[in-house]
Amino acid sequence: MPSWVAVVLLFALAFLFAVGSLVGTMALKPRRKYRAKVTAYESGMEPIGDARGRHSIRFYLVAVTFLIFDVELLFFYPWALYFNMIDDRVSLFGVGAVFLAILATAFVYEWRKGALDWNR
Amino acid sequence: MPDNIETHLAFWYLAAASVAASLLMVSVRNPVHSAISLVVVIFHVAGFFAILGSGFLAVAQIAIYAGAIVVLFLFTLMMLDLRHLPEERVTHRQLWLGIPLALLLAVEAVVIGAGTPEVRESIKGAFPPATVSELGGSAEALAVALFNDYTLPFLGASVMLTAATVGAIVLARRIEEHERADFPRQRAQTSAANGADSAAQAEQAAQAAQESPR
Amino acid sequence: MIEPGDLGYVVPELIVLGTALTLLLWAAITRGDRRWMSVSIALAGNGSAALMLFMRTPADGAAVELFAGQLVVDGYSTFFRTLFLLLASLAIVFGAQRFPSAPLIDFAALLQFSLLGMMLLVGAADWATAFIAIETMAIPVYVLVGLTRFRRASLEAAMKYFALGAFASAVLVYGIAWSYGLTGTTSLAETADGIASRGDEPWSLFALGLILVALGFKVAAVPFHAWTPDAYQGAPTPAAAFVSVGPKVAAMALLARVVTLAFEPLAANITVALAVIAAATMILGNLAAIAQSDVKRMLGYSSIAHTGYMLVGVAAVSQTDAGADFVGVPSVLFYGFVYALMTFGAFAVAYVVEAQTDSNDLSAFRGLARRSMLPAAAMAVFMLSLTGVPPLSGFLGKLYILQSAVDAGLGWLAVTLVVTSVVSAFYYLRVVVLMFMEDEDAPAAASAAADAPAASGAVADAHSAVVAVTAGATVAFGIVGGGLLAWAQAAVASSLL
Repeated sequence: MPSWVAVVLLFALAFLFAVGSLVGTMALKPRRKYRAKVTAYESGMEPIGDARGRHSIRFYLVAVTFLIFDVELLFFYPWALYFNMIDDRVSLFGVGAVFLAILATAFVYEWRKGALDWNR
Repeated sequence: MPDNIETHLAFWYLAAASVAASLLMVSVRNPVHSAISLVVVIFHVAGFFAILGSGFLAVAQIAIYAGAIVVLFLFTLMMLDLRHLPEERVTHRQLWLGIPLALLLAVEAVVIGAGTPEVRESIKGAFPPATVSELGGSAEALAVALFNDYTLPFLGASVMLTAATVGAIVLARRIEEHERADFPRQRAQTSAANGADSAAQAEQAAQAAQESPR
Repeated sequence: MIEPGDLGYVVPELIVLGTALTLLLWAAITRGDRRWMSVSIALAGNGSAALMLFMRTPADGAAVELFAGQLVVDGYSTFFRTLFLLLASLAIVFGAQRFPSAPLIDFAALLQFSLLGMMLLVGAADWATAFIAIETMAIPVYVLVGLTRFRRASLEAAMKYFALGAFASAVLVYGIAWSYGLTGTTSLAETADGIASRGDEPWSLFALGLILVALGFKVAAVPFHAWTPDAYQGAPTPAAAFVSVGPKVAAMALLARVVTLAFEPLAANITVALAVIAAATMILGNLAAIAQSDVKRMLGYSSIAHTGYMLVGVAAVSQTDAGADFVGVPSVLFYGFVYALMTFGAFAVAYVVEAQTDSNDLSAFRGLARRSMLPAAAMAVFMLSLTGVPPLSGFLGKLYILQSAVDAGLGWLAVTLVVTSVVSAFYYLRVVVLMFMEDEDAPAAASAAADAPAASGAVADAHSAVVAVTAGATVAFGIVGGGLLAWAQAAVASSLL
């Protein structure tokens, strides 16, 4: 049996659970609708407007930053794996440290330029 | 691809589901639904990578594309005011580009996928499946390649990512009042520029020099 | 992993990386007026990098492979790295004229990153390094074009340039993937062996075609040129000056290395493809330039035309018994060098006019000779040199390219080059005539000039120095061009090609 079958089973179970819960409640729930019941949060705030207005570009900046550091993270997975495959760990550590140091400059720039401050 | 029944079943499921989700993606009107369909496509493509024995690529596909890229798409959609989308007339101009590209990919699929065994045999790579399994897996094979032959591009990638981060911040950061003040003659120039001609006018109007070179 | 000994050969690149990171930190931490500091850091870095470049070039001139065959240090890369260090230094001085403190330091940092990408690109010996380098070069340049982001034209230009540039990068990766699938290697030199062993397969041509399309975008060859005039017109002028020369010449250097090294077995097909593209590029670029009334847009089409001239040199291959002989490559190096200096200079003068009249329209050049003689004289030199009038360097460049085209038996292409150059005289000389004509709107222009805040002396002098250096070099390489050509020939001879 291929090793990925377990992953497929996991996905299948997750999918079944999600669909099953929805279908199950749909079939079993008592149907008593009144105003408070159909709002988004039964005991929360009244919704104001809808969610489709224009949002700030700051969200976009956060997403770009996330993407860049996500790519960086992906590079570090093989790096970490390689530690157990070789003896010359010092130079491997050096390569990783240089990689991080260069990106740390970008992080300092971002931080000090206030790109992470929401209220500016 | 391993030649057993589970793999074949998985393949046909992934093929059907990814084609269906792709069709859904290009046919729904709501761009948010389109983005969600894209996530489904990406997950199924990751499935192809997994059954082809490249687990690392599958994880990367999900982490980068389903995670970060689709979030980027959704945030871009959020910056547009979807309530006031202009009612575009449906045009098919993109077909001029789309049909040749689709044909190109179809030819490639036929050549590589359904081609003769000689053709498939002649496709080369530095890491044939035997080597990969000897090293312990696709991520290990990648690590060996990355830290033996490709260390310079690895470090280059960090420089590239740094430049990209800085570029994004420079362009998307809020324009501070003092920045406008630094270009005094441009403050009034916010007139819309559409098309090359009016862009040229706006350009001339807005091209303010801070100092004169005398 | 990294061999410590290899690092000695890339000291110039390390210095440029150091200045880029220093500028970033400086931009992040300090406040206040940092214009002086930005220019000093960049210039000191580029100066010492140039010094190290000549000290560390292998004494015997042989090519040295570094970092497991990823990078090569040879005469070819040293030739281009010298040019790029010079261009980036000129660009930062030019930028100091245009930008106030805060954007200037960003401009300087992005410029250094782009410079690093270009320096790695011309030394790339492997597709992996080539791709990373081309992106490191291109990403900061998209931002430079959109740096004046409160102007819609600037943002529109950056968006167009970015969208088409990203598309070209995707096509490039697709081509690289095909090449890897066919040959099993990403090394440029080994790719040639793999391609040769596959004989006359159409798939090799397909891979080559994708890579030529992608690099055609980067050098702005017809029909992949559409972004160029918009990008130059919308960009702040110092950025336009740099974009029109640096990335274009770097991509041309990679193109020449790729066709002569990796796809050398397909030389006959390359000649046909590039000759057709070159002819179309020369014809369309020159004809479209005639119709322009904006000087930056005109220089955009002019740069397309000059891409066509350089492509003639790359296409000039003579078939000998020993195999393909790329006779045109030294003339491409020469042309790239002089093209970069004269086009950069033309943008620098365009900025002088822009500062005086707030306009990039050709009519703003009317009577420039009366208002300011030296920029007008320099502009006349650039325009005549771009046309190819002797004894300026543009003439020698075209002459060498023509010679190699004739040597390679591409007579019809040589004729196209001459005819389109004659056409180009129309729009280049129009600028010269305008500048030396009587100024009919003298009061208007004078009042506009009076409105502009007076420049601090040092900055204005520095800008005059940029104009003077480029104009002087344009004249000098026309008179003593043999030396530069000899260098280009030695550079090609000592390379991996």
